[in-house]
Amino acid sequence: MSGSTPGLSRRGFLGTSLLFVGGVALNACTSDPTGSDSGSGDAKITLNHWYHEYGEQGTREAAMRYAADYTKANPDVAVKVTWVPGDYKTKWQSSVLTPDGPDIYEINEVTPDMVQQQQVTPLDDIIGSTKSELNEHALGALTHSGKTYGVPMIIDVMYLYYRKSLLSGASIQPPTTLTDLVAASKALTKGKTKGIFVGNDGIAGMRGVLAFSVGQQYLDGRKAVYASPEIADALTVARQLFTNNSMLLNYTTEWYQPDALISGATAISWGGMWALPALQKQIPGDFGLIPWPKHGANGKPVVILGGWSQVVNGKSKNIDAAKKYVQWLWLQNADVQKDWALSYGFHVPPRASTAASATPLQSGEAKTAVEILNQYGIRNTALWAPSVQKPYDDAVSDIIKKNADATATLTKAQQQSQQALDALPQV
Amino acid sequence: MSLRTASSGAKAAPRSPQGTAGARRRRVDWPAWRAFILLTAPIVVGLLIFKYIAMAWGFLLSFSEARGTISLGNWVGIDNYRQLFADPRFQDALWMIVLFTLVIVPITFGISLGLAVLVNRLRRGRAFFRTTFFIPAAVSYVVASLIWKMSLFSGVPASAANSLAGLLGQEPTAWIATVDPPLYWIVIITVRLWLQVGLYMILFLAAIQNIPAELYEAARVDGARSEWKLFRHITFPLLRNTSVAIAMLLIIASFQAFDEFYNLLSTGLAGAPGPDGRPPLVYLYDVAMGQQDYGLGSAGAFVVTLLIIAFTLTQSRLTGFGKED
Amino acid sequence: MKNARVGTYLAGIVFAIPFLFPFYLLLRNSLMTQQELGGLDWVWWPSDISFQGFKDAFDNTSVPLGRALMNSTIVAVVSAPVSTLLAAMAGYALARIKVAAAKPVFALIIVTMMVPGAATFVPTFVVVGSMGGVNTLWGLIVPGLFNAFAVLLFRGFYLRFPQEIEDAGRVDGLGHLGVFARLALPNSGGLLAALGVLSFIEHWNAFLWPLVIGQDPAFWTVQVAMSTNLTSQSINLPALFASAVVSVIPLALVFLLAQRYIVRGVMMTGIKG
Repeated sequence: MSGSTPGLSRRGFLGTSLLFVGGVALNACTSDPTGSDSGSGDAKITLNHWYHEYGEQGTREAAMRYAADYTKANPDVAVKVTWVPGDYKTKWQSSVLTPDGPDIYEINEVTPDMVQQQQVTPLDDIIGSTKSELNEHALGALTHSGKTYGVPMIIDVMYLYYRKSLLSGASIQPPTTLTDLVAASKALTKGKTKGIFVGNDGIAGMRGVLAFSVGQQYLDGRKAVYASPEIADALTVARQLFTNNSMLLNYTTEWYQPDALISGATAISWGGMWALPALQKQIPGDFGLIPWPKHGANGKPVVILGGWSQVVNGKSKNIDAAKKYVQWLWLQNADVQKDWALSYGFHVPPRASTAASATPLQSGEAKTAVEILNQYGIRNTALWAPSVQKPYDDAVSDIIKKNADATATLTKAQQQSQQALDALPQV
Repeated sequence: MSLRTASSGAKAAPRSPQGTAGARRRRVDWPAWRAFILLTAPIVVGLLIFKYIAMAWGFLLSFSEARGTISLGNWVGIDNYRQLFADPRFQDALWMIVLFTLVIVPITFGISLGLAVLVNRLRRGRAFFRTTFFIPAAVSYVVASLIWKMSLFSGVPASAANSLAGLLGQEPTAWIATVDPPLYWIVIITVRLWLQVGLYMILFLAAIQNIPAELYEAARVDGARSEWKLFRHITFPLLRNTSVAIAMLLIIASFQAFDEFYNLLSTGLAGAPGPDGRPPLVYLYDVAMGQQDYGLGSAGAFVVTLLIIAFTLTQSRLTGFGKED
Repeated sequence: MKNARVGTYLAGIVFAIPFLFPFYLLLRNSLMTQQELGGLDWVWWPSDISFQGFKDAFDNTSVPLGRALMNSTIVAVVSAPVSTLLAAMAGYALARIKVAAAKPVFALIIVTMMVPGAATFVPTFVVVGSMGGVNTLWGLIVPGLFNAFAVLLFRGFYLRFPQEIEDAGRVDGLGHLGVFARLALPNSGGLLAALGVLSFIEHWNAFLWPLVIGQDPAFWTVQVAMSTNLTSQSINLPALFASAVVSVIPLALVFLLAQRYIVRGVMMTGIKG
């Protein structure tokens, strides 16, 4: 510490001036952080509207266009679109704790905690009679005690894609049972191509389908019921995919991008309907799609119905304006709903009349996807909250990756899930 | 540890004007008070708010049910602590970090000491080698995780590790997803080594260079011929204080591991990693930010903090760290 | 003897390779195309060097890299000098101003060193959150400005500050503040630089706190932006590596230019910590 060189005082001075520059920059930046306002300098109200990142090209521009259109029609209201890539859920959850959280945001399901903490508000008044037209599964994840807290925007469908050329090259039929799937994956693993890809951790896509694939459920009302011998058996069979070296793991992109299928790194891949346009462009005619295969005597094939719904923050300072905007965007404006669901990637519009008139869904693989959705589509209820789900997710990981005893592990996890369920407020 | 260092610092103040201060103490020296308050107020206020109030609030919150909210009021006694200790995953997390510490600390210690000795023996090009070993310290855990996850240890045949394995006739391996056997440990250990070894090498190097050359001369005269003997009987014993300090720094850093676990092991959009590779801070991140349970998260923060303090105190008691020798 | 020296250099080179290899990968990947990088075969060097990754990294509107770099710059450029200066002020007062409050204030500051910052991110988030600090620049910066350990180092330094200089200042009519600002601070250049540079590195590379407090993309630092890209809905690999290169360059420069101070800072903070 021989730092008493007087010459260094200039450095100290430099530091102080940097400080001032920083301070100025700090002030300059806080006023308008994103610069993505939809314009209109004299708007009285600014609504902050959050989206998760849709991977498809053009979606962000579309969202901003809708917002700008709304401001054009309603000069009093400006809409600031915030586009959130990555772990969106954590991000909106933490942001709605604060007074300046988003006014409108999108979610997968409304949990009882969200209702109790006023992170959402009932939207029955704006939904009105449209309710009967909306998909019941989608509404189920948004409804508590008869009140609907969200407006479905799109329905996503998730199933298995396969490369036709690779399957026919190995003379393999698209599998219809879990056992077939295991055998097919094994047979399709050759050279640098693996048989199946369900996500980089080897679990992601399977976790949510297995109970349904044996004809059972995760929750029965407020009871966790997933610790059954059938589900345990399905997990044990599914583990073979992981252990027999036929599963693609730690690929560079995730399952929600079709890259692994396109590059030939895998022959079968868990994927979403949104990837259809990309697949049609990159490997036209060389892919097909099937539901997740059934398992056991009472099993049935599954496609998971996901999707996004719009909610209004119950703590928003502009609830009424936000509701009107949501009503305009997702209930009255059929063009927007069609554009949003079909112009970029493929999703199913949640409203029956809109879905019926959606031409891109009337032919080819998209048609197949909609058909198997209508036949086998299913999803969990709003009580499948993160704290309820966590013990199950961990149990699946232990069983599939570490050969933990399936029945015992599930039973223990189910008790924990039950505790978490009991802790959820009644709303 | 810090408290001891502090008192030793006070002892090393030969020129401080004790006498005059003592005489002045009787009447209040207002200008001195004013200056004192002006100079210390910013940091005192800052620490009061962001440490003391934060800890107090967190402590109260740990006795509240606070799901999806950070406000106090819904008192539930020690339920959060009970729930925390009943969760086997939390116990796993604590065990994991202890194991991780037991592995990473000796390895980092050995390699950084070895490199310091090596660099010290180089005459020409010492600056080059020192910079080479040290410069990874400029890289963040995020960037390093990116390289490790997407290029060095990715599961595709083209990754560096799998290309090497391919040369040896091995099948491509999913390094990160394989938890049984725990191949992912290779990934998390090597990334931390790469990032932190240089820093501790610098510390060892500085200490080695402070050892008087005469000691080696004397030892050689006494018949210590081999380099190893010189190292064992002179270098290493004289590095004792540095070694203890480094071990402690390594332990504290290891207990707070988060960045590489989060970035290497989280998959998809689900946020936090699966049950394997979930150290306490990742567990708490998931509880607080993922499941939005701030009561449980605060309780966990206190348990982890107490654990670190207990570990540090035991360590300093055992090694007598901080005592001037 | 000569053999031993050759052996030492050989060992040095053998060890240097794994330390340099990741940098090579970083650079190589940033210059490849998505197709080449997603391929199934190892490549030593891209057949055609492509800067598309760099272009894509800055053109990506979902993860605003330019904005993130600016946030990181603001955070590091404000935090490093401010936190160092605050510590110097307190360190000076505790070392040289004899008032009754000195001891309790010192204890109050030092005790916080027992509580590791990262382990208590939940309580800190709760307090900063309730003050409205989520998604703000101040929430990102202010909680990191108070470094008790630096106070300890400055106090030790000023305890050894020559009394004659202070006395000379007193004769010239300077008070405590004057002595600090005109004499003590200008003569602490080495320590200020060492701690300032370390603090800059620490803040530039910080991850957990920025991740927790900056939920809105507008407040992401470059580390959070890159981490997000790792799990983004559409991963552009070359852009990911290109943004990593861009984020590493400023620090690599700081490292090469200020290595002397970094080494000194590491020695002080490391050994005494």
